[in-house]
Amino acid sequence: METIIKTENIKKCFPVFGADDFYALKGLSMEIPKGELTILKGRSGSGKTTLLNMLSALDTPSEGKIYFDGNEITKYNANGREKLRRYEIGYIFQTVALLPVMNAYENVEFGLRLAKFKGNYDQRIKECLEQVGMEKRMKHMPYEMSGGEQQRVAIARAIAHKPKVIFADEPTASLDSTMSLQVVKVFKELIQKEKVTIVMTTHDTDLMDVGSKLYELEDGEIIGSK
Amino acid sequence: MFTFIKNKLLHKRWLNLCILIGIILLTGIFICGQLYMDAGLKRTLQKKFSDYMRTNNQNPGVVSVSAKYIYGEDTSINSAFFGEVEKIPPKIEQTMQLPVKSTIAYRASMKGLVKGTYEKDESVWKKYMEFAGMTDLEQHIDLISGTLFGEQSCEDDVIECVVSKHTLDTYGFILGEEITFAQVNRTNDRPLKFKIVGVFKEKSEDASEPEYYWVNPVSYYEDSIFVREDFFPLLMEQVNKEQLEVKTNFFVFFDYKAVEPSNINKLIQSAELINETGGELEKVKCSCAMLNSLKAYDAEDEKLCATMWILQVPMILLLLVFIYMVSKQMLELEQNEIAMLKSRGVSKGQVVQVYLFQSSLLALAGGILGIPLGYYLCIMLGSTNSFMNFVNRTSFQIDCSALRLIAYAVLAGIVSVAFITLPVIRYAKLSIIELKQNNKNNTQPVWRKFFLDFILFAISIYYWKVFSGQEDYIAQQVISGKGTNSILFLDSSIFMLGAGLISLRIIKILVQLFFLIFKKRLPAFLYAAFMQIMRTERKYIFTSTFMILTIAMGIFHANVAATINKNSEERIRYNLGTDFILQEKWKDNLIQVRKAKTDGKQLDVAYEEPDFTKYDALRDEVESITKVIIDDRVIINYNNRKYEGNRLMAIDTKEFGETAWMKDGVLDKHWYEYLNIISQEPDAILVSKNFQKKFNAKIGEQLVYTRQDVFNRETSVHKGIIRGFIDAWPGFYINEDTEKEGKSQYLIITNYAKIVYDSGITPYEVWIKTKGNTDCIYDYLENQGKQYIKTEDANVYVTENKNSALFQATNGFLTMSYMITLLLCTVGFLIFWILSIRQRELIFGIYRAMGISMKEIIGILITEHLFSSVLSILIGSIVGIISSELFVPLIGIAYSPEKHPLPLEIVNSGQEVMKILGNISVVLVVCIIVLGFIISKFKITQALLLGED
Repeated sequence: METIIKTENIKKCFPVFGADDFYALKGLSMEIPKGELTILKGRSGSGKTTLLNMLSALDTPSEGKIYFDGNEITKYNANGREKLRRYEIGYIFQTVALLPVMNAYENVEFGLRLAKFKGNYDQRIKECLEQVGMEKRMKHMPYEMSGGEQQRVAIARAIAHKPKVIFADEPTASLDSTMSLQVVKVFKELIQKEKVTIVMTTHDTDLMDVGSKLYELEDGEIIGSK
Repeated sequence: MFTFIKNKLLHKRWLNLCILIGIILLTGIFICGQLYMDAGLKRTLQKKFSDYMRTNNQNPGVVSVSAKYIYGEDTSINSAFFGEVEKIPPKIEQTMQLPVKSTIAYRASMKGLVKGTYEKDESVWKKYMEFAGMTDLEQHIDLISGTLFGEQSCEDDVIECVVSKHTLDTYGFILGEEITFAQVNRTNDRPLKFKIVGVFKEKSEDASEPEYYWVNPVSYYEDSIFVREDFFPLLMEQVNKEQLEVKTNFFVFFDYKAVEPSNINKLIQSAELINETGGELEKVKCSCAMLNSLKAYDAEDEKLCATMWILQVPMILLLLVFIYMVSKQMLELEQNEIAMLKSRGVSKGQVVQVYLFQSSLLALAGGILGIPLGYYLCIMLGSTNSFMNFVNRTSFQIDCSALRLIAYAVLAGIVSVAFITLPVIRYAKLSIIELKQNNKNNTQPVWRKFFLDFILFAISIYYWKVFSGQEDYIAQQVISGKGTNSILFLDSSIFMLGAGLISLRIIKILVQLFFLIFKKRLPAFLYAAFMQIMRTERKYIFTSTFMILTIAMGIFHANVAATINKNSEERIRYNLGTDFILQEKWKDNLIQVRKAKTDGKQLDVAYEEPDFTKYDALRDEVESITKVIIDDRVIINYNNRKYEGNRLMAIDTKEFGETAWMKDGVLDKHWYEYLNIISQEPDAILVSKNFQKKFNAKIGEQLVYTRQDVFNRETSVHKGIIRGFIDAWPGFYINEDTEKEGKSQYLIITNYAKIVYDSGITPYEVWIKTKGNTDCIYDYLENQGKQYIKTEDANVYVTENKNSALFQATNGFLTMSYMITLLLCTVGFLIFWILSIRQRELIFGIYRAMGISMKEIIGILITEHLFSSVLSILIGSIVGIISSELFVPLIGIAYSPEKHPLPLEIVNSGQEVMKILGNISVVLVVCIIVLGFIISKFKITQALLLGED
């Protein structure tokens, strides 16, 4: 199995006033398989979001190395990380993160513009919205959609520019279990059709088994993996 | 509830602080306006009194009662009559209802022929004099020589008296001389004989300010022989009434400083009543000196009041809009809370109550802080000199009762509470579901739906058209004291609002067009920025409108102020003719001429020219000096008819050209060319254009004109050849009023040398062009110690004009409103942007997560700025310049309504525009720096976490 992201002993510490530094990550080494769904599991405060932020180049570790597609991204400057996020990565956030001034179609289009997508925009936008089952709601503004619908549009936006990896931080947290399963179903379909890698965090035990790889975190350490 | 509201206030402390500032300013301005109006009215009134004092050299508070002797055989009629006259002063006091400073009685005998001790030949010069007693005379004179009269008894044959120096000068008496009434006897057939024991002049401290004594100057009493007041009636008893009667004058001095603007109308009525019915006794004349001042004030106060309101209203409206805007912003942030409260069963009334209570607290605090601010602003107003120009001058008196101040503050508070609470009612109606639905409707603003912008614009243009056809009518209204039509002022504001809103509508279309055309090529961050601008336009409109109005009004007001200041200053300089005019008292033989006249002899008036070369000492410190003969007694002989009362101006053309003040472009060619024309030919004259119009005179015609001496005797005949007609000349303007009555004054300008050659030397004025500073002239005059009958300083008039309540109020209020709008603009702008960034923190986090760089985020903000603020500034500037072009000419009329040779010049000052744009740019840059600082502070991961809360 090919690996797309690899970490070597990454640590993240935050200074605490009047006490020793707090380590949110305590030296993690892990590998994310390419073209699979990887799940980071843990209770809140376990460090899974911090880890996801490191992996997705939103934040930098205090120590350790991260390799993305063979390149050591911990060496990148802010500009390099921005480029990486822009072209190689797609994001799905816990809360609904559509741009409120744009409708579904435009939100996806914005993702394409940002990554300077080469190809037919209209076709790709419709294709992505179709994949998440939102093709009929293209012209709707975010406030005219339910939470699940908005999240699906967010997924469409995240995959539109064909990123190598999609990171999803608790994408189902604000959804009920039926909708959560729907979202996961969409993820699986995407992996098949788009050959994309997906990394998601969750604390939902129902979703533990849907991924092909699972890391369980507690207190900034991996306590188990499958 | 109190803790709840306290927490609520503290939670949104910045917004509440803004509302508080709004209320403080509102209260402050409202109070300042009222205080200024009161103080300005009072000052205008006192100015009228001091004008009266200056021109008449007389206390304006005096009511004079003069009773004339009734000729008749029965002397008892007279004593009964004067008995009645004695009762008049108390009646006057009762009618006027003002504090009385003093009542002076001047009782005198009628005039009789007198003879001095040293007079040889009676027939040479007949002297008629009266003897008199005057209340407290001793306290209001300075003895030059001799002593005061001592105790006197009826047995004395010679009565001690004092006379003024003028008496000595006129009649040639000397100290110690005895004056005998030639045809009057006392009881026991004694002659009526007085001995001059003292000579007096007016008490010097009384001379500086004509306070409560000398209504008529001392020189007026040159025929009076003053005896002790208490002795006068005793002496009168002894005089044969058939030979010499008594007469009485009273001067009742009221404290004119106690006149209040509020009771002017009643006072005018009282004064008129006194003037009319004081004379219910035949031969009694009462005259109230202040009547004309009161009437002149009455004509002006309405104008001031109207102007004050007009100046205040736009500012108050802007402040109310500001308060409304901020409280609406706050409500938008709190709408979830309101909806939540509602869903938990809180009634609509209770929600409104919470806000009512909250805003009342703010209004209370605002009122308390606003009162001193208003007071302070009023003091500051009193020290503005022109637009945005403060001078250090002691401001005028402000007095206002605490009760009134509080009443004003309460009024301002109620209005602001209403403006804060009104929008709540709408929000309080909505439940949480309705709220969500309501949010979805990104509807058009009401004004846009109903085309209110076009309607406002049309209304303003309509009124502009109406007004611009009626300049003369407006001027007439202003001159007649009716004040300006307030619609005229409001119309300019309506125009700015209408034009601004239309521009926003057009901008919206342009932005959409731009976006459609360049959509494909726009980089992602600009795409996002445009989306933001177009989809949330409604949020921008308020700030944009605010900005447009601020800038447009700023420019417009600056131009109004510049125009009225410049035009009135130029007119003052033009009317005077140059910077400084002097006229020395020339030595003459008028006394001899007068004497010769009474004796039926012919003697010409002769003058002795004072040394002119002494002014050479001044030449280094001033630009230039020239002699100008101004003679207003010229008779023009034309078409075999005589026209009197014309003005001759004899000038040294070169020096005059260097010295006089004249505006270019007023005459059909440069005025120097006219000077050249007359300099080339001794007989050449320039004549004012009204002469040409009246008589259809032609260039090249000969004009015969005659000069007269002070006794209106023709002295010299001149022949001039008309070489030009001019409609404006330094120091000459045609009085429209007399022109209408058919009494035209014509002006003849000719060469100084020629006039002197033909009619000898006559007094001339010395015209001086200064280097800007007149101190050197005053120093010079003081050192010279000569007597000047005329010293006129254009700067003094200019300052006086600027200090007039109307001009000062206008300048002050325009400056104040500009500074306040600028402040509001800054605060409003910051609130809008900080809130819009705070509300979008999550979105910026998403942008950053998606790989948009910090630079691009700043790019988004700058683009949004560009299309909201910068465009607003541009629109504001254009609207301001256009409205200046349209409305300043009309408003200018309100300040200089009289027809004048200098046409009203509209100042569209680029400098002011730059100043305003500069100020605004500083505000913008500061705001962007603050915003940049806020944005650079937040981290992506934290911004994203925000969403998880």
